Amino acid sequence: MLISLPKVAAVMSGQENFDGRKTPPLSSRLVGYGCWKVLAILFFGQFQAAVGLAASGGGREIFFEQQIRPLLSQKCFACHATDQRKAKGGLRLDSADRLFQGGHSGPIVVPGKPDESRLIRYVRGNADLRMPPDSPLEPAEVAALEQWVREGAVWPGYDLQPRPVVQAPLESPKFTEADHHYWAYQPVGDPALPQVANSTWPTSEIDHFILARLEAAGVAPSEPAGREALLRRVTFDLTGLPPTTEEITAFLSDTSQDAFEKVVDRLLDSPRYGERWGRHWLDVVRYGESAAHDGNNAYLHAWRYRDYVIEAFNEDKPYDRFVLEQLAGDLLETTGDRKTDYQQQVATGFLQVGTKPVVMRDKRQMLLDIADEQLNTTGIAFMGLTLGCARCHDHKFDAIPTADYYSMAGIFKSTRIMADHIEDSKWLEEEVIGPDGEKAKLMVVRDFPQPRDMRIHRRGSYRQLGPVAPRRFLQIIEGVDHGPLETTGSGRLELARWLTDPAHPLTARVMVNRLWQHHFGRGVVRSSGNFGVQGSRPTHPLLLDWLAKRFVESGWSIKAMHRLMLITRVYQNASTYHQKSAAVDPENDLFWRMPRRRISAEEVRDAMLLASGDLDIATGGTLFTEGYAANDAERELYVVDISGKEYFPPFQHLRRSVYLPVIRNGRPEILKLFDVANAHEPTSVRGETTVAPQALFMLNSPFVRTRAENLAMSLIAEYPDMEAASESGDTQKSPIVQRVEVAYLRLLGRLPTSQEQQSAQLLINRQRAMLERAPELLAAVQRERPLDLPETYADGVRRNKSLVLYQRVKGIEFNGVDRMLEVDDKEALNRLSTEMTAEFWVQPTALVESGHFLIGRDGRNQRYWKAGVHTLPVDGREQVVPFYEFFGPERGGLHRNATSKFVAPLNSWTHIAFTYSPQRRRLYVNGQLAHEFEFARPLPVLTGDLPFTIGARGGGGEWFQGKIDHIALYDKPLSASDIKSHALLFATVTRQAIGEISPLELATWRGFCQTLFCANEFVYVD
Amino acid sequence: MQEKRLASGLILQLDATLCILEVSCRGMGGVTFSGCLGISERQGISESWRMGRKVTPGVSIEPSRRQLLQSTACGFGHVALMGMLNGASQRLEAGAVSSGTQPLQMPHFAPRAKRVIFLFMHGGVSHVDTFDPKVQLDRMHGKPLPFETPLQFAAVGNLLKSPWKFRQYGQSGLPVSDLFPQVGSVIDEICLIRSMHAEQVDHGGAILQLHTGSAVFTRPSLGAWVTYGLGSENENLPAFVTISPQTIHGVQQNYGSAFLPASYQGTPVGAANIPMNSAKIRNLRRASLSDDLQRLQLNAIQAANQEHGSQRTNDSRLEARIKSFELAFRMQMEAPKVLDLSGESQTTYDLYGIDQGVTDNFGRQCLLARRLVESGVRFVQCSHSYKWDQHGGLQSGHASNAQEVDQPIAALIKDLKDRGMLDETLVVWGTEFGRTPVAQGGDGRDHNPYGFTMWMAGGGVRGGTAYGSTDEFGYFAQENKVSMYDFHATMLYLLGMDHTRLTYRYAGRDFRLTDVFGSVVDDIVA
Repeated sequence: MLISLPKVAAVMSGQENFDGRKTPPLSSRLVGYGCWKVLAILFFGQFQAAVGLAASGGGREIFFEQQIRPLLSQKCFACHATDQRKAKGGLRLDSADRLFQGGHSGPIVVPGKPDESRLIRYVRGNADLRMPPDSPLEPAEVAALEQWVREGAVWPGYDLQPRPVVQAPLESPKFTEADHHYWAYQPVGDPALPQVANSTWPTSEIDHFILARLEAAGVAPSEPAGREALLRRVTFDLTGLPPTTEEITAFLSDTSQDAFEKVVDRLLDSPRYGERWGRHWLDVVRYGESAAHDGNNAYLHAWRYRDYVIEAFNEDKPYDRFVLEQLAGDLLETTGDRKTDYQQQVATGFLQVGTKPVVMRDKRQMLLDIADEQLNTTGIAFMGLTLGCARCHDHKFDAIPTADYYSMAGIFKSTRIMADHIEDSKWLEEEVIGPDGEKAKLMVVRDFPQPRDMRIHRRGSYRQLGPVAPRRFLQIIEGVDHGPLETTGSGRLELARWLTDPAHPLTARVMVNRLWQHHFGRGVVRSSGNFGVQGSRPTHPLLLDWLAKRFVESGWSIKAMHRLMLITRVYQNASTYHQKSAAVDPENDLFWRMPRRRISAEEVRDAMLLASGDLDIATGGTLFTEGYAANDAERELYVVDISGKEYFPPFQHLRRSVYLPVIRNGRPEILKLFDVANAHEPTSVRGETTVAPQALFMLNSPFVRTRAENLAMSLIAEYPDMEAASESGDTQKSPIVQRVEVAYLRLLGRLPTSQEQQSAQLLINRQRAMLERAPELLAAVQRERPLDLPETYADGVRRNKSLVLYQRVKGIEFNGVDRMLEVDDKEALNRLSTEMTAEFWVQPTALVESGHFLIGRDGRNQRYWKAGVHTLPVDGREQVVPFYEFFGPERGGLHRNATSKFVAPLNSWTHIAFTYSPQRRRLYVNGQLAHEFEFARPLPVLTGDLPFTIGARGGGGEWFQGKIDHIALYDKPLSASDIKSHALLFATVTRQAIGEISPLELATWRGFCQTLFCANEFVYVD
Repeated sequence: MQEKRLASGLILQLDATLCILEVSCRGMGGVTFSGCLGISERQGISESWRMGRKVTPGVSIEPSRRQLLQSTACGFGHVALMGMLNGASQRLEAGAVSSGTQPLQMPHFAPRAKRVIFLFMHGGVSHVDTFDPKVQLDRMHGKPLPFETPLQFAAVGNLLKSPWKFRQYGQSGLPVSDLFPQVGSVIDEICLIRSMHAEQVDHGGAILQLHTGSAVFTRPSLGAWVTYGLGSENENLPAFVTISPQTIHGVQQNYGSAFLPASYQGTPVGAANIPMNSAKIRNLRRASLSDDLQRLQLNAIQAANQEHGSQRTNDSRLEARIKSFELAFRMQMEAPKVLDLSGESQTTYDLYGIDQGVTDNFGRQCLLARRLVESGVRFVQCSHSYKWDQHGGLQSGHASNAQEVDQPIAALIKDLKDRGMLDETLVVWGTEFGRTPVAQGGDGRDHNPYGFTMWMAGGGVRGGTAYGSTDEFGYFAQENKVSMYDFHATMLYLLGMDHTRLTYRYAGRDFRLTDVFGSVVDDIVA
């Protein structure tokens, strides 16, 4: 069965590729079992035959296959193999990797030395342990194992001592003249300001560079942008949000010379600035909060790195320091300053937040892939170089030999990133002291005590090792064969210092180019993540160098660069198209106008939330804690197949988009639709697509519908109807006109033209007329379910094994006579002890005489709790009011109840939540706290054999009349913020504040607001 | 036919397709023709003549697909083109693949198939228990596998013979196990490829490789590549629809477009955990808006956008967005009709096993797939959810899985044939890997990517044949080995595309579905 050696050699020396390509000559030559034999060799290791060892090596392989593997399999695997959940003693014998690694107490095999091998001692039975414990091996079997160890413990395909295939010395790269002269590797120059003919046009130094090129090409620049357009542009640009009506008014009325500068300063000082520009950086560093691939577990602590980035931008952390901290913060001296020391640790999250193939069974490969991922990101983020391309072969286009790849990969391979890559493949996390003095868990990296250079991996495979590549930097920049790093560490600190040396030709150029790109729509080098040969050339090379010089001079201040770029004529130009200029420069290579910008996915979402008054501008922190899982372990696992769980509570939050967890493979629909960066790889330039599903989302999604509705609500509330207006004596403008004006200001940053004002009113009137004619439609508007839950929520009972104990999401109609739902799920009920939340949407359809219960549970001895609505006179009318009460535990005492200060209007949807904790009961209506009291008694302890009742009190009676939708019980009191977000996301909270509002009016204005959300002008910034 | 003067000074006679180029040029207000058009003898010129495209004699002007699309990708909506093509595309005969979501269609040669239905069996179907009978396995049942295997991950035991009998079916007499009697009944339409092989032993990697060509990197999916190459035949429907996509293993990447423009990504209908009878396309409908009312709102939107655009000339993105709203409106009128199976006859229901217990779900998927391709959708995937991973419980697991899909699959093939559509529809049946011939536990099999079976039917493949083989035990592909790259290359070939020329430039280099690998398996082409 063994094929003869010459054939193996023939395969090895041939150019054939066995990894899946058809190789007809070979497959016809190698028949029978020889075929797989060769395959095994090629796939799984450098077979000794390949380096010319004698056939004895092959003989040992046969011996292993015939004697040892079956023996291990039959006698040992029962306790020491992968399918045993817990391999005894951490030891597994089913793979060579695992066998040679040993168990918890270390290696068990010393090749060549049976007497020193614990494996042998154990099977002989003359050690403290005897294996197998119950049925000792036969003497022949022990002898076989001894022989196997004595002969070197050969395991086919496993390389005990990886040996280079080719013992050749490392070759020096052969760079060409063109390589050496490539622009990006040249030192950064400091060009003088170009001369311009029209000396009145430039208002800044940058303008000289722009105008000089325009004049040379005979292209006239565009006129200055209108002030509204400029304000909208710069506000979105720096904060990712539109200007508020107050900000618009203030800017339009500020006639001072430096009005715009003041705006720029104001925006740069806003915490919203870091959220916007931090996000740009997060794109570049492929920020994500889950591992991707199959083991897509959540990185529960990655958010601290995200907050670090946002804060770094807000604080204007010098960029060189920013780079240094991210690559090597852990290697910096501690300063004693708590915040600085914390930041130095958290910053290295940069290396950790990438993808990790944790379920990959080949752990050696996994570690290589992780190092590759880090190196690739480092190359693109800081240098605009695609180092990753040189993993398998010399870079096809750039002057990056494979040797350089492994020189730098060695730095990352000398850095510990996984806590335990064998058992659980868990990344490294540590608890440190946070800036607030509290403990903070972080993703961290650590140098290995003994850093090692890597061998070149031919074709990227650890099974084909080449010469050693000493750890050092790129030879095209540092010089061919420059000396290896002089360090006892991994080399990360040296790498960071090298990158942030002001003389580095790429670091400053790449970063100023990124800043320019986000201000001007594209980089001076369009391919901002690729400064290599396949990337674009700078359209304004002098400008790029000038900017890079200023950047370093300014102390690497990013905010200084913003000011430099924004307070220019070129930034403040209009985006108007001019035929004549376009004829010469159709691609706007010369920046004769500002490009119009489609706002990003985050901006689309945030701007809609802001306009509807729903945006929660809280900063920082994680949303992973929001009620969906009971503990960290569950939280981590929950997102593995997140796409099956579209209703992921953290995604329902009304926080800015940058704070929504970045689950790889499971992004919120709205972000996905509008081209959010793919978190699997560094993104320097986002895509921009225009597809029908975006339009469907804008037209039909509950998210947009609710935004429009809430905006409509606030317009109506701010500008009540005619009668009220005339009473207030304001006769100048009708409230209709004012509503339209405010809507335009909020969404488009300007007032409507008189034509637009007319069209708006026409639309409103027509809609109203149509709705009046179609009562069923109006009824449908009212009945529209507050939550449009994803289809994954099938009808019926659904219980989540994590936090949500019980959910029923399909609306149920209750007739107030005899309908109720009983939940008799003991497992769930038993998890309710002293804490819980009950949450639902209700739509009462009739006034009731007394209490009508939404949910209840009766225990023995008059212990019960229940929650419902009852009818009370409010504002002189009978109205439906939520309340809850409980009773017990002692007979006759401790009955408490609480009534909401808000009502639940008839025939409308209202969100109601009750929380219970040992100390405190709370009642929320539409996300607002409606009642709260302390009560230092535990909940009545209820036995698990009594069902919950929904739609009636426990056991029946006091029936609710109306609908209940999206019922959820949690075994924890949800936070106020959680409840608010559940209530707000898809429903109108202001309905409550307004009291009576005509459904017709609401539907009419909602329709109008939605048309504005759909406007091109809303998503395109001039 | 029109004459156009290009920026470069060339004069082109343009028909519908080249019109797009003109539009994209002016529309971009940015893209120069020199960047978009290569003046060279590039591929496909002669074919493009056949397609009805004409170029001024003496100058061959062939836009590089990737360049054109790149310009459209970064800022130029394709949807705009759709509207512009609207009239023009109707002039093209059906075979000349008109434009749904893509401006340029260019089969490199005469296509055998126009569309694809990909039936994906998630979890790893055992080939030795279905389409690849192994006599040796019966003979040596219980004995150890007489050779070493690549990497033994799990503890596997000795050879395990198939619990199912194989019978010969059809004129071809190809053997199929008792798991798939109904598929057996249409075996003469099917070409089995018994020599599939790959390297990925984990579901995630293997599934990504099956769907995107790469197990590791983020790459466009098969359906995205196909629609990128061929566009849609229905302007009111997405070109690529994935029915009940899985919610684990790769997930959206399996129908994503990665760096291809987003318009090529698959539109999901439902998801693996949603029963088919309640599966929907998201945001397709709005209960509270009548068509009239929504039309009224849409008109207001479009009027405002037209006005906005009239002050901002030469930004085709704005026009594209206007068109996308029109498409959305049409889609919400049309798609529900296609998704609604209720108009189908009882006979059809019976054929697919709808409303008949275990076959209902996959039956609905297959019937919907037929309706979608009938309506001009280019690429439809049906996914049988993650059920086939029988490390244990092989007998009961594979039996119940097969029961769920056997009848619907056969029904789909019969139905397509009856409707005269099978010739032009490539039906692909696939799984991420096969399973080992050795047992795992008493009644299970481990993953085996080294040799397994997939099959194709219809669309220009040679029915009633089995191509390639595994070794005597079914462990390794042995004769006429077919890699995933080869499989993909062959699929593209049947659709009229040369896999080496279906490229897209991204991050400085050209990408292909087949990377640098793959060769067409000529022998299976009829």
